[in-house]
Amino acid sequence: MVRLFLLICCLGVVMKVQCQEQQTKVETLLELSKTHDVISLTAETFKKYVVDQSRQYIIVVFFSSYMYKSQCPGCQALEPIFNEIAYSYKALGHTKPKDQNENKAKPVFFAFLDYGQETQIIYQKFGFSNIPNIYVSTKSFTEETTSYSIDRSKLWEYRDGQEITSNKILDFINKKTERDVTIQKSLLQTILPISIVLTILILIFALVYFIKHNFTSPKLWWFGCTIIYITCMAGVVYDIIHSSSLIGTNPQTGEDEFIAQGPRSQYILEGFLMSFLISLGSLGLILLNSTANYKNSWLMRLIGIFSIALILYSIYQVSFAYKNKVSWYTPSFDPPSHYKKGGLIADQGNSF
Amino acid sequence: MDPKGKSLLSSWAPIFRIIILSLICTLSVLIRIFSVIPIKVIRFESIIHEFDPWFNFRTTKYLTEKGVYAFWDWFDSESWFPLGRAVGGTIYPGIMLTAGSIHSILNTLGFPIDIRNVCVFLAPGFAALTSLAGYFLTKEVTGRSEAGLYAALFIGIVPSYISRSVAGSYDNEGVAIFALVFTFYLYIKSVNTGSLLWSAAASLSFFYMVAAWGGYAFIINIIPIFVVVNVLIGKFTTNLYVSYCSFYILGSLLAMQIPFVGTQVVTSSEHLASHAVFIFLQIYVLGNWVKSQAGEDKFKIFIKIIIGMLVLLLIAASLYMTLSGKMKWSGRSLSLLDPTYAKRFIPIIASVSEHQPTTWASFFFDLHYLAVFAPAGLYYCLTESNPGKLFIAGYGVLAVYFACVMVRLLLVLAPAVCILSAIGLSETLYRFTRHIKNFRQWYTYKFNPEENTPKPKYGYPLELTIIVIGIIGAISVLYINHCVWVAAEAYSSPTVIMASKGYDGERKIIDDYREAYYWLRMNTAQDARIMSWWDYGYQITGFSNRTVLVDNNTWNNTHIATIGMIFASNEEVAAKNLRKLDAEYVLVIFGGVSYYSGDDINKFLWMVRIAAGVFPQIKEENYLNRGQYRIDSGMTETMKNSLMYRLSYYRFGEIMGHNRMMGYDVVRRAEIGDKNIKLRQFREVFTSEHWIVRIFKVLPEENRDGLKAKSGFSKKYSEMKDLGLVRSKLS
Repeated sequence: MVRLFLLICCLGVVMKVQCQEQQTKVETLLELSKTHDVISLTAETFKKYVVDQSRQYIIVVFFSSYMYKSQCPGCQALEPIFNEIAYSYKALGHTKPKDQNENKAKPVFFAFLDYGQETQIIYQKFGFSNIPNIYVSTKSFTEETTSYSIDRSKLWEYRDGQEITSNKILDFINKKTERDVTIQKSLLQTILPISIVLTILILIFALVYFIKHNFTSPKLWWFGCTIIYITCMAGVVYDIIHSSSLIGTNPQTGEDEFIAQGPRSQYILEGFLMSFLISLGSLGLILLNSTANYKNSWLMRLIGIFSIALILYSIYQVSFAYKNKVSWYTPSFDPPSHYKKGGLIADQGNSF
Repeated sequence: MDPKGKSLLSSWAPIFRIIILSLICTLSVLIRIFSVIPIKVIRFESIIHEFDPWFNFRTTKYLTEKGVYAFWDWFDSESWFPLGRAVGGTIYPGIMLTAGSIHSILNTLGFPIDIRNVCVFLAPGFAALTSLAGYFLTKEVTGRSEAGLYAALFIGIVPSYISRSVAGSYDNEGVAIFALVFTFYLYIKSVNTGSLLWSAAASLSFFYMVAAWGGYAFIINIIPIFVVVNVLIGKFTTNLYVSYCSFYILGSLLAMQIPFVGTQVVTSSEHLASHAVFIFLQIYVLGNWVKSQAGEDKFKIFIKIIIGMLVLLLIAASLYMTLSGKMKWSGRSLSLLDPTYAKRFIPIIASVSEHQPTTWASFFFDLHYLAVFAPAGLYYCLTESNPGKLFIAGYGVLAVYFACVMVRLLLVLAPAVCILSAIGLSETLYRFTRHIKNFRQWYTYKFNPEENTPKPKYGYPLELTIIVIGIIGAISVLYINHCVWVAAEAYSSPTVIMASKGYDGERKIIDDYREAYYWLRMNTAQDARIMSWWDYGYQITGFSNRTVLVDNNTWNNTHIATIGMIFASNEEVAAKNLRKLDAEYVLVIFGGVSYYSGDDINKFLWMVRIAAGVFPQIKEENYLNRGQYRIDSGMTETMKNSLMYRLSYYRFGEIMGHNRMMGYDVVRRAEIGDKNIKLRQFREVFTSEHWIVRIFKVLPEENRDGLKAKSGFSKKYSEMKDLGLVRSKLS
């Protein structure tokens, strides 16, 4: 009887200690998450907060690398999304402990594990062949020599070429944490678009105010308009949407390629160069016209010849580049000589 | 100089002008009918091209048959089955009414012309009108008719405009570009004269534009911007005030008369600028009056206080509205600020090829050397500015931005670039031809100096002058060459009929679409419902007169996503959904046999993307193997089971293709992964000659599926037993 009592006491003490331990863990995490939406973990803290027994919270771990971020498009895409989701959870009060026994009401923390020498072993035990990954850990798991006993269904692994959208990631995390969180934008993000617009407006007004005297100068206006013209003709929107590279590489030879094949693709440098060349012809024309009003002199004659050369160069270069780009572009008045010609029936619609 | 000779030449100038203009008009009509007229060139026949024109043609036919009132009230039950579409209230009726009235006028005059021919030749006719409008606009702006003639020539044959107005391309843009240029001409005229009559005419022309095309939003935004800029740079005149106010009031009221626009004039953000500028103008005029009453100094203080308060109020209000979530950025304005918006969130907009952003190559192909000389025109518009030239410059700069965001808006840019480069080139011609005129004078002065010879005004080397004029002539010839080639080769294909060239230049006509549509018309029930991807909806209703589930008027995203989901699901799910939708036939376009790359397999990823937006069970990555879209043995299981794959490649494994390989897809350049497809819920009923169109019938549900014999029987048995109707064996 006494033994039993002692046993119960001991158990009680152990439980109490465990409870306290839990409590302190939650509190420290809560404290940490107040300052950071995503808590950075080391190998030690990973073991303590994620792997080890006795905890009453859910922790979502983001596996990625700071160092190799530039070589990893998935990491770059996922990081802001993950931060956003972490912020949304915090903003909606999901980090606060309510009822620690049900999954639905457990506090949720977001953590980040950087890939490095010390944490390498953790990555290996998870069996990752690629980063980034997300694991939603609802309960602790045991550590074995080569692997963890984790619930594979709660693991999100990145596959090459996969598209990462914030909706997909949010769906995954929501499902695993059994909640229905929507993306909350931070105050800064809500104000950002309107403040950008306002700043631009204010800047424009300031600009107008400061260059009021030069504001009506037509040459300045022309300069601005031509810059807009060149930028638009370079296809900047195309570059942004298709995220083109500055120059490309030829798939066959592997050499640098300046002009992309086909009329529906281009590289950034190519676009700007061509658009600049296109506008160069206009510069030549304006120069040429300005010589026409002056008296005959050798200087004027030279400028005239130079500007004619400029126009011809611009036209020639642009047409040449276009012909190189688009192989079927062969404008001519006559059809090629080997085509069948003749009367209405024999002629296959090739003669003009 | 002999004053008499000069006046003789200038008295002949109007005649020359008229002759040249009529020649330009003829040219701009003739260049557009390569595809139709058997003068020396037979390409195809008098047929409506592409997709949207088929709908316009169908409604025009309805209009001529049933009359205007029936047309307004028309509820079309043949499209968007089972929803239907109220056609009268959801279209821009301008082009149909134009063609309808031309048809009825010609018939009254005793020319019994078919409505199809009116529709086919409407766009080339309007192109001639557009080049006239371009002439008048440029002449009004520059005051020089040679610039106008140049502009007329350029506009008449600019490739970008040809692409939308070849014979048979019976589309809104064909008439709308004329309305656009003509409205600008009338508006500039009203600004220059300050006459109410011209502004009324401008608003009437604007009314026609609203009736014709959704692009009218461009006019209703650019004119207010022009007015504001004029006020800001201190070029406010009473003429401007009169012209804008009357244009705004009349134009807005008239625009409301089109049912499709209606109250949008008040509610839509596209009209916001015009309202704001109207109010701003009134305040500005009021302020001017106060200034004249109160004196300069007091007014300055007053205005500073007012502006400061307004700015603070504006910032506070917009912050409040955004934070409280009352003001949201609409998708449209977001996609203008952030062009990637549509790609990420509205796949149905991003999937259309004419909504893609433009590359420099497209600019060059559609504008050719005009793009090179437009900035020169901009320079003269801004340096020697008058209201008209300023307007053209603003038009050019705004349009070039829009064109850069979307390929189809190159069409709006084209007239601006034509006018700008016409101004640039004609300025050069004007300056240099003076030297030829004065050459004799200069020659006499230099080599035979007599005492009384005045020193000539201009002295420019003759050889250089001739070179310059020669170069400009050569450039114009190259431009015309390009345009004719483009019109003949690139833009005259009717899409429904395709022509391919053999190695010896022999033409093969591929007429699969019409073959299939005719089959549908002849072999299916009158009220048969046909499911296809939305691209072919208008053509099926137009050619075959059958009901379709979705068509090119993409007003209901969910319905389109349902079709996408059906194509992306496996056969059983698809058949179940098809039966629910009451569809009888499925039509797929397949180009794997005949090098036709615009087929449904290539569009399939867009279908999946659109479906994924509505149906969460469809996931794009399930159709991709490691990020690659494949149809060969490396494809995913989901792809292999999808309805689109199974229908497209059904029995494809049996035919020998390229390199003697069985089932080799020449478009994807791969051997297909599943050569032994057996259909369970569908039956092939038609495949066209080159396999481009394939039609399948949805089989009725099998008996066993419906009854569930075993369980149903035992349940019934036990019920009967409970009721005591069946005796138990034991008893």
